[in-house]
Amino acid sequence: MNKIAVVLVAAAAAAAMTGCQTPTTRVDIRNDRGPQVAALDYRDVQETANEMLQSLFRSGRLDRADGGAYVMTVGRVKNETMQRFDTDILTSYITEELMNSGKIMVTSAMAASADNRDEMIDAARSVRGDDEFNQATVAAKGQKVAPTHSIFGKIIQREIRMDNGDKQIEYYLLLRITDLATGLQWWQKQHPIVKRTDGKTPTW
Amino acid sequence: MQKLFLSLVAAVALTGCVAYHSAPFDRRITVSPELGSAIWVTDVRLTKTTSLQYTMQANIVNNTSGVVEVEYRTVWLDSNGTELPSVVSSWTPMSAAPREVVGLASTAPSPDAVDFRFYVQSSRH
Repeated sequence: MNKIAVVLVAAAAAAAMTGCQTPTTRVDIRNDRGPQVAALDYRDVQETANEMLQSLFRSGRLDRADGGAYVMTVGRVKNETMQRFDTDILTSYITEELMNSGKIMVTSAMAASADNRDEMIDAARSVRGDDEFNQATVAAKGQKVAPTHSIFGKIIQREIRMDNGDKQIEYYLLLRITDLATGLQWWQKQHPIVKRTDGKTPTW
Repeated sequence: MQKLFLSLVAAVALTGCVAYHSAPFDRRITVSPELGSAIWVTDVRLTKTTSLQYTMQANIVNNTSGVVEVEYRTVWLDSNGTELPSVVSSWTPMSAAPREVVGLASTAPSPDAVDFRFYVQSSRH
């Protein structure tokens, strides 16, 4: 009888514990009804990319008179927030859309971060003179295309204590594009995202 | 008899000039049913300005006496009517004060985009 009671109690405890767990679900990112979070999440990044691309497309800066494409390199986008956040998440949205527009080509031969450089470009050239490789298929000298523009920027976080003890978190996402020939800034856009939350909510 | 006929014609013509209070219809615009007549989308225009890419402009009119929180997105279509997938088509939150008219603009992600569909739904958060 005692054994049965123990089993029943164990089963009840197991059931109760299972009931406390949030089951893992896959989020439909096109229809996410989840609550907002204090940190930067993918919705903030998408909104920022959307705003920035709209600004860039509307500026007419991308339209070359000869219909050709500019060549862009990805510079440094500094993360000055309190969160671990790879800024490539933002820049890759931008560069992907720019390439899809047909007005920008992005070089992997030159970039501020090693993650945006393709080591295989140099590796493919290291086989020059190697008779294991058909030399007619090896990249010749003078084939790389130098970038005409670079994209860089930073993400800033400010936290402000409100009078009622709550916290206001201000994120500023700033991107700039430079004309590398002249050094002049070609385009710039800042997108602020402001959130308010309980004073004790951590953002990292 | 002739006078009566002319009066009827005049009445029909005048009725055509009278403004009526109902939502403007545009097949490119879809407002989700739960919003009812809380908002209207008006003055929809498709233009090219400084860019070679189309920009869609519209006004969202809050018909209520309260703040309305909605989300909107613009889906861009190529000449075949096929959607051009883009992050610029993601849902964007927006709120409108009572009786406020909010102007919106969305620029196509590519010169291939020649038409659009504009969707508005209640805020999900």
